[in-house]
Amino acid sequence: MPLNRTLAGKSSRRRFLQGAGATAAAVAATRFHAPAFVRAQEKVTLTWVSDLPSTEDIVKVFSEKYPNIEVQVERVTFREVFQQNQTRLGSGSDTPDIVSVDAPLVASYGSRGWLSPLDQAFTPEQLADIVPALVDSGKYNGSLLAPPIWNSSQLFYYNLDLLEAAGVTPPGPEERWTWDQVHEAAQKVTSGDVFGFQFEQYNRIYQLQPLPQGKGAKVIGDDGLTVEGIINSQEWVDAFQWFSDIHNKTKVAPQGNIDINELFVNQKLAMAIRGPWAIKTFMNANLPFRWRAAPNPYWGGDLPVTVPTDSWHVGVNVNSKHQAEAIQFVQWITSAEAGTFWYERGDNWPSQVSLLDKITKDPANADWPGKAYAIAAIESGHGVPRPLTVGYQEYEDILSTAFEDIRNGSDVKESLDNAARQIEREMQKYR
Amino acid sequence: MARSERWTPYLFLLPAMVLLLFWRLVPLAAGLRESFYGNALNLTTGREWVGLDNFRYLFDDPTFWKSIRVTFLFNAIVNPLQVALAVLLALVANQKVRGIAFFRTILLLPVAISINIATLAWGIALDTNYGLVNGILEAVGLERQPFLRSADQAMPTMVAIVSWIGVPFWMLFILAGLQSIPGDLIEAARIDGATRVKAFFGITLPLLRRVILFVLVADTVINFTLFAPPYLLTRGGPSQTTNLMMYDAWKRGFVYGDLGSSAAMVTILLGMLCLVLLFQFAFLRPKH
Repeated sequence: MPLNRTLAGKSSRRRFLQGAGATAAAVAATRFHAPAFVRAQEKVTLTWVSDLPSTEDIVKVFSEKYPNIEVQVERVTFREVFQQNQTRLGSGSDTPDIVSVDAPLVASYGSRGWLSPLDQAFTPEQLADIVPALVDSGKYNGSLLAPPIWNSSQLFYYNLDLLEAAGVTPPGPEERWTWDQVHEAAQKVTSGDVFGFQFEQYNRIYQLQPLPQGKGAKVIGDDGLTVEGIINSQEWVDAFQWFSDIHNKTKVAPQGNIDINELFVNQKLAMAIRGPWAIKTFMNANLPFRWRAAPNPYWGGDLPVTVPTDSWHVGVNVNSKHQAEAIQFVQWITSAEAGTFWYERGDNWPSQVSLLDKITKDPANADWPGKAYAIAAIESGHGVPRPLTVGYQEYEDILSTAFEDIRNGSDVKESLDNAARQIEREMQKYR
Repeated sequence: MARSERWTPYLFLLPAMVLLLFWRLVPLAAGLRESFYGNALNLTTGREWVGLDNFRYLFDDPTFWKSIRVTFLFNAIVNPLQVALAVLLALVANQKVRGIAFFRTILLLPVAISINIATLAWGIALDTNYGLVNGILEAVGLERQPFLRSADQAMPTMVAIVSWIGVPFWMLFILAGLQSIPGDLIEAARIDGATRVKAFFGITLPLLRRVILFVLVADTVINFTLFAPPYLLTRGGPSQTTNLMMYDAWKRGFVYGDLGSSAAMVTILLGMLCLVLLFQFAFLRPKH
């Protein structure tokens, strides 16, 4: 590793802290004067790069409340959000004012000094209504940079008609199947062009994380950088051997670029791991079959139950010319009011404690299909966020390639060894 | 020649030279400069001079070497193949038979489709489970093939897709070259007793040499810097078997945020490309 790369990392942290302190003071000052300042201003237009559904509608709700602020949504695809952030924020551009940040990238953006600190923008009461793990995900070096707008939980969905036709007794709403039970049932259902099981995000660590974690393995070292001996440990190899088998040995999981929703609603897939966003999709689709949901599977016995969680956060571009207005928008978009709007649209899973509590106690969710929401709320309690590391982008991308290779039949140990070697190399620049 | 007349050609060339300077040479110099810097996207440290560190970093990276091997292998197959197929198709399209205009139109259709759309369409057609091609294979009693999802088949499949798009385009140039060869020459050779094959190798091919050189050079430039197919279809996999250098450079810069090694990789790619082109010019330049 070249010496100056190493020094750059240390120097960046020190300079970031200095910069963060200065910006925090500036933000604090604007916060206390913001209302009068904003009222006196002409209409301000903020920009927000996002791929999320209903963003155009939710910013209208905001503008009705704050007529002096208009938010223009620059709609891009999921992958493009990261590329836009990388190029625009990295070059010091003053747009977008509002930055969409995937939870595990907060550290990466923070280390590069792209986001304004927001510690002074939120009262302790406001923060107390946000799921604590998500508040932590939004921090870098102890400073709040990007609070959450969404949260996530995962469910095990199944087509009850397909399972019953194959002679499989499905799990009840509180019954947690093991991954081996899933595999066994999938073999009974798979026939012709109907597949047994698949993850919605079949090559992303987000949904696959419970496989190694459920065997008690870590997903990254305590320093947030080390992966050698971790992602190629025996637990990982065993977990992903199961993943390889469902694709290559018994072929119960479809390969290739697939759309899980399309397959499930067209009865070409019997079981799937998906987030709570699927519930409203299924309800609105008026499906010609009965679908149910159950808790996320695990490895059985005393082994831990872990469920993917976290989602999108938002931050303020440190170079935005409209800091006060952008902060005002972030305060509102992370509130229970905005969370309720999105939840009622069926687009998201809320990050507010009060809203999660309401969903669990809602009598409408006592029976199907609303019952799925109640299960998702319980599963949130087992949520384990993705690894917090400054090199998350590299970590995720290299692992995705390894997972894809394993899906295509590559040797599990070899694929994970290669991924460990590559990630270790990329992480050197942060050491 | 009057003094003012001497400068006239340069005056006409000026707009093109200005465009070339700003759209090609300045970015090239900026890319070269970037390859000596690190932390380009870090606002807290700012860009830092790192000398040759980005190049050392790459030379020490097995992924970089694999990417070079993949890029050379891909080009060693795709460029001669595309030129040979383009010549063959041009010979067919040059026949003066009934309905040849319709045949030429069909041949040229892929040229009208953007490379991104064509790539995506082939990606769907070659899908393992629900693709048209596998449907046909199964219908005729053959086994389904993984195509882009197999470490053995991904590279040949990508060569086929890129050639489907590229061959008709290059055929246009060869066809124009063929039509510029006087028919009398071939006719005279045939009267003297030369077979069709002998006339082709003895007269047509030598006269096409200049056009073929242009096609080969332009095709090599395009395929050495190919980006869309690995980006849209394989993400460089499976097992890095389609990790072409341009895609790898993009990933380092825009996914990993390491603009320095990305620029260093593109600099190396351009250097290699120049060497290959010099080699092509040296060995294929018409002797007359």
